[in-house]
Amino acid sequence: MTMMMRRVAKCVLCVWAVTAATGAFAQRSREDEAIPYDEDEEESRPSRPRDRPRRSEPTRIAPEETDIEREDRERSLSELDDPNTGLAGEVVSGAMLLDSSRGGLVEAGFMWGLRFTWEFGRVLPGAFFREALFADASWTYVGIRGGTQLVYGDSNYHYFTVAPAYAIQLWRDADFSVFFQGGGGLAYQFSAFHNGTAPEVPVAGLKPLFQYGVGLRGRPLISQDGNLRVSFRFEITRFRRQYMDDTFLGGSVGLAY
Amino acid sequence: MERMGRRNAGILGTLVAVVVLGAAGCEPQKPAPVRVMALVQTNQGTFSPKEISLETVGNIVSMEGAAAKLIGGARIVVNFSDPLLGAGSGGLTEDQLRQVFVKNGGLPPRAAYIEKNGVLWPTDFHTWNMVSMYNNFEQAFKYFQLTRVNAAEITKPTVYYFPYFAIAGGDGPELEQKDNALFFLPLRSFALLPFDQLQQVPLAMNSGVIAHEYSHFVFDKRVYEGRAFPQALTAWSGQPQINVLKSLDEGLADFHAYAASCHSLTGCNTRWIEPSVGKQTADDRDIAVTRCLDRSLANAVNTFSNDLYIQQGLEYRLGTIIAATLYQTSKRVPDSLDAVAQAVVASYSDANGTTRGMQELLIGNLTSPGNVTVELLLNSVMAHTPSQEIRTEMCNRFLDQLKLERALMPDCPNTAVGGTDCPAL
Repeated sequence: MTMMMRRVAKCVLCVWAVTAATGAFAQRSREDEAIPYDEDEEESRPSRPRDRPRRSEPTRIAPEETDIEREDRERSLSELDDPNTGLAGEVVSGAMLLDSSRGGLVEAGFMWGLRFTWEFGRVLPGAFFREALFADASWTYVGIRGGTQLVYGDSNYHYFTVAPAYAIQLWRDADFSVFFQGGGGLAYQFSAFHNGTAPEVPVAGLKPLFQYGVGLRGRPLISQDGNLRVSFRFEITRFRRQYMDDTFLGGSVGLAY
Repeated sequence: MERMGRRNAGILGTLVAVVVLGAAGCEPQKPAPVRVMALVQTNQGTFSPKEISLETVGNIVSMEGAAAKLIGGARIVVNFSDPLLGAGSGGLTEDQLRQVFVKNGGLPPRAAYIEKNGVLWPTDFHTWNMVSMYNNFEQAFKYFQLTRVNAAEITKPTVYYFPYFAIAGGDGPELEQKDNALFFLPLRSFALLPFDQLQQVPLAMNSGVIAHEYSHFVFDKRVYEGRAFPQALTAWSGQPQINVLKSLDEGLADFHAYAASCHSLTGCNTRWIEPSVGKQTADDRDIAVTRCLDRSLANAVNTFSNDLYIQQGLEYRLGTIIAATLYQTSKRVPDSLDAVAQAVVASYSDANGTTRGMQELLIGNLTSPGNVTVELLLNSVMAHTPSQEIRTEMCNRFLDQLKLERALMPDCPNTAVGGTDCPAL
């Protein structure tokens, strides 16, 4: 009897075991299937006006920022977009229309020189100054000769100026801007007069120099990492050399980083 | 946005302030005399930079003073077919005449200097040229005062410096003139034209050239009453008397250029034109050479049209002989140069004296040009020569070198016997 009981018990366990395994398998198959949305017609039906609340719930008020959060938010990220140091070097060239000592309109000559630019607005607070202010330190030269083959004069003009400028971007985040510039410095003049019979007569001296002008400045990217740009300008600049008014029409090109 | 606008306005204001400050450069204000470097003749053939003192200049930058008033960059077109002139040039005012000829009035110069120890040094060629030229005008201005011309009579003539100067015939193209210095009668102004072929000492730097042109200015003032279109030249157009007057004007100008050089540091120079124009012209115009009228020139004066006479430069040939007679007079009578020069200038006009000057002779013979001869005009010079000795020698030279008729020169002293330096015609 006891043996009989044991056999029945074993058989039940086996059947259970088989049915349990089959059931588990069947259950796993149902879980893998896509679960359809509840088709609750009440929920999906448009609400009726009488079911809606008479007033909206109040808008959620953002929690007060911490100082650190606020500082992070206010910090300009422009330097991340344009990581240049704001320094540029350019070669200047163009037509120099020197004031005519003989009462003519101008005495034209070819002017060339070097210009170094510092966008000092980058060290000032605020994104506005960053793109608006820069300053140049320039040296430019023009020489003219006048006279006959026997009697003539060579006049050499060296202009040393420092000139801050104010630029207005042509559009938001543009690499091109219109600039207005004013500054001053010194004009070093060296003149040699030849009379054909005696040694040349040299004379040199310094004159106060003021400059003002307007132009178009561009500095588009030329490298992938954004650190190197080509820098160029087209400009008209007037120089007040003591009481003489000279006009420069030209431009410059160089590199900025 | 508003804040940015305010900020922009502030920055622009700063720029404007810089601009205004830049415009405040000032010119050197120096009362005369002004010490300045100029190119001057240091001996007969050499020009060197030298410190000079300009005594009449009022503004050393615009080159304006009693001796001259410079204007640069003007545009002058001479077209005698201009309808305005045809309407009656005699009635045109000075401003109207200027409008006819001066198409662009130009600007005062802006001479550039560097100051060293109180002396202004030009810093470009044109400033050297203009300063040297002003100095030459000042020397000529002083010279003519020595010949007893009132300073107020010849003060501050206009000098067009390096203008565009063109001659247009009718509707033809304008022909720009270069390589010349001239006293332009219709404007009663000087013009120093740009150089082209002349590549030696610029005409403006040549004191003889300026004195020569200044002489034309004085001649116009005195003989032609300062008229833009002198009555005699207008009335006698095409007649031989124009040839005579042109020759006399040029000859006396050459003589004055020589006489003025005798008051310079370098001393008397009859070849003053050579450094600028060259040896050939200097040879042709050298008044130290004993020059004689020849038959062909005598015929040309009386028979050539004015255009042909001038085209062949015969006014200079006859003029040089006239100048040579005065030169020889001054050489043969010791220390007589200033007296001869004064006599010449005195003969230009003499409304108050007992002897008529050239102006009066021309006005008195407007309807009888045949009376106006070389003899008549040079007799006026002798008539204004106080010294009997000088007048005698002058007459001798006129008779010998110019072959003038003694009978037509009543002021020729009886002691004059002519000469034997020149062959008979």
